[in-house]
Amino acid sequence: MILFTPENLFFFLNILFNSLIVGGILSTVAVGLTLVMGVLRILNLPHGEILIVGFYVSYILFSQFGVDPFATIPLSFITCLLVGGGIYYLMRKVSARSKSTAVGTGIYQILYFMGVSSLIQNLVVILFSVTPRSINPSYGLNILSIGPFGVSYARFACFIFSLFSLIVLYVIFTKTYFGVAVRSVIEDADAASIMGANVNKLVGIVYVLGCALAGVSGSLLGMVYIFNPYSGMTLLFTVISVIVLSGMGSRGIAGTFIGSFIIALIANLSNTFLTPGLVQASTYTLLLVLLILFPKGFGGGRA
Amino acid sequence: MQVKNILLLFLAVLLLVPVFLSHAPYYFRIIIMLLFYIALSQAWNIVGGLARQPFIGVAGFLGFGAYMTILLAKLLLLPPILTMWIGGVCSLALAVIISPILKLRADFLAIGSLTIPGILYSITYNSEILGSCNGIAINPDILYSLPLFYYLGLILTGVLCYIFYRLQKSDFGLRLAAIGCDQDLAEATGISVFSAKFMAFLLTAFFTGILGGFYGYLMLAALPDDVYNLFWGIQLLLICVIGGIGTVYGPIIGGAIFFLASHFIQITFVELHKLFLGIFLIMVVVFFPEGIIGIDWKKIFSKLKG
Amino acid sequence: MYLLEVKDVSKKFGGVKALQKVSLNVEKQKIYGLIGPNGAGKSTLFKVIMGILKPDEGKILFKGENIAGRPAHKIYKMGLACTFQLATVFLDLSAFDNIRLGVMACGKDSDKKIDERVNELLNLVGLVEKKNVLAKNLTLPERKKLDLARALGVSPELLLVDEIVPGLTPTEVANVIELIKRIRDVYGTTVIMVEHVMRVVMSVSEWIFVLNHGEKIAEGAPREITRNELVVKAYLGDKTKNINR
Repeated sequence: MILFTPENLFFFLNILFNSLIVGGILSTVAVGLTLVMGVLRILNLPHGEILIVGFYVSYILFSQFGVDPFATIPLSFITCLLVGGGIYYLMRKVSARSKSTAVGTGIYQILYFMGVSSLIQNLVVILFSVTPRSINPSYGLNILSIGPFGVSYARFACFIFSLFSLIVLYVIFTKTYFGVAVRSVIEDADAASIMGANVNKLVGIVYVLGCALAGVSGSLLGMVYIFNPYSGMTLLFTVISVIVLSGMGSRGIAGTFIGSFIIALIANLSNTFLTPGLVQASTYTLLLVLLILFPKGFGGGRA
Repeated sequence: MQVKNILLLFLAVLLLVPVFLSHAPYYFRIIIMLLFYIALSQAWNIVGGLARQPFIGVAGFLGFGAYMTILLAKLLLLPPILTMWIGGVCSLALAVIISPILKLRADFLAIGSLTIPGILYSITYNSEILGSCNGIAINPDILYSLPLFYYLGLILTGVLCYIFYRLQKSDFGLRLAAIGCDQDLAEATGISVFSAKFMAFLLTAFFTGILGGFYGYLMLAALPDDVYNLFWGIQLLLICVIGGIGTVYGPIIGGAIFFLASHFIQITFVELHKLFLGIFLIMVVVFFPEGIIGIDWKKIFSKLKG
Repeated sequence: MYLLEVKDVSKKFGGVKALQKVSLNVEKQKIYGLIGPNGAGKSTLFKVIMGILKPDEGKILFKGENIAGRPAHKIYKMGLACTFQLATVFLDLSAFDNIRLGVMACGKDSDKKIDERVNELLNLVGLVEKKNVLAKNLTLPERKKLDLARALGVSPELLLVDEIVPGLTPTEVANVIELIKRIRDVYGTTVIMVEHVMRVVMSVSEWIFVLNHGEKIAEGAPREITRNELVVKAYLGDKTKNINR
């Protein structure tokens, strides 16, 4: 068993630890997307693009105006909130045609989303060119030691921030009236509206909040990874992999967190052992395999 | 029988185009590309327009057909005009392999379908044998004549339009249209939804593969950034919607409008080309979902007058 | 032999027991009612019988065969049809095509015979003049009738009608009820009406099943049901429903 030398073991444990950190950050996005999907009844295809918008907002503030990355988060939040609002407003017009209250999975809806994704992506290309960029604050390179492992301050801060958001989300959705109302809409929109919930308003609020959350995650992830205008799509694929593996949200926030961890682990492993070219192929293949195996999510979950 | 005469005249003009354009290869190529776009859209129309399955990753079949056509032409020393059909069969095989994806709900199908060209792109881009980022090329010594491409394109377009027309009127076509309206209701009305989607999918994949071969032959090369570009799917989508989704004339009208507009934009606003397309798609979907046919022309004319 | 036997069917959604060991028997050529307050499990039972959902336990015997878990399209071809709430029809297709799809499910008939049958059904529901109108351009009552005609395409022996009454004026309701009676008498089809509005169901059904909280709490002739204590309690306990509409 030459494989299990102390160095190798440590190496693998490092990967596990790293996946935990990245998984945490990923799960925030995944939870946001799951919520939006639950309330909208359709996958929010531009989600990845919105994340990138958040990233670029923070990038501009950081690189052009020297604002500390964490201080850019509120602006990133607001920008993506507004972008989400715009998308939602037009979306309502599209779905009004299908004569139903829910945003169905009709082909027009999908076309609309593809148009939005394409629009955002190309706007970003025009404004920022395709050069890969990252947010690298000076303190980002300092290593924080946690036991035998080392992780950069930036990465660790993102992880903490993500955990914090997850906890906040959990509290909102279990303890507040708003959260309960949203959950009832996810469960059964018609019943919820009979009970007096203003379904359209709630759906709108959840949607823009989901987008804002994605934007913030983009700002955070920008400190950990290098992005270009097309990264939105790859990120979307990764997040969807998480959602499918986590049973489309049927296992709650904890389930999504575990799913994120597993996906992050697989991504880390493929990053380490595969040639750079095949890494992207593996992201796609993973999603394809997951979708084929679990067309209704792992465990056949309902949102 | 005035209509018949007009049609015959139209047909004559179509057949004689090469004569008119023999000294203007630039415009000739444009017309050929127009035919290509119409044929490609008509092929996609089967699974995307009639059955309304948003399979956006159609570039996967296009590229795979292109690559296989060129590869086989090089390996078997056969002319691309023959291997193009084998390219179609290869795409068909690929379609059969990934057919389980059809069980997915529309939004997941859209995303899932994008993984196909993504995977193929990555594999080809990173493989020396397949030419990596420079793609593979056809030996330029072969038979290459624009009239050939024109007539071939015309035949393919004509065949596809005819197939779609007959399909629409058939029982199978009716089932696909029902699936396009309401998949669950179709299932409850005795239609085996997966089988129907599967057949439509195979048809689209087969013809897209052949057209991929056509494209590769026309360009004398297949490059991953070109043939596996996810943008193909969005373009075809837009064309079908502009012209009227699920109709036989949709790809024709939509193809003409889109292609010419796109060409014009590409020349005048080189960088903003794709941006305009995104905006255009949103506007069409939000304001003109029935395409150009759905626009109440009478209303507009009367408003302009009065 | 019963036309339909539901034996001890149970279905859970997460922690919620939507159906708990529900059993009922349905005979040929009768009109049945399936009632119960909101959330009683009527829709779930409906979907389980139709093949849209799989039961966790129990059997569903249609003409002697267990159809539990079979795909919906096979169940339709066997002769078990349904109409859905909100008049689901193929909106972008004409009335004629809508019905044609139902008839086509039989399979082998020639085009001429199919057209004959479609016209027959158009006649039955009174939509002959509208046969080329797109379903999305029909009024709600017309769409509900179209939904019925579509379901009848395969000459089903059992027809489940899910809440066809909401949205109709009293005259239209009477119309639909007459139609359903004719379907039973002329085609020999058994109809199970799933409804909220008790009055309608009472006036036309020969036998009623009552569900509450996923269980069958009563069954019997309409008169007995209105006097049944459990039933009255179930409805009065639900503030949004009034038994004597």
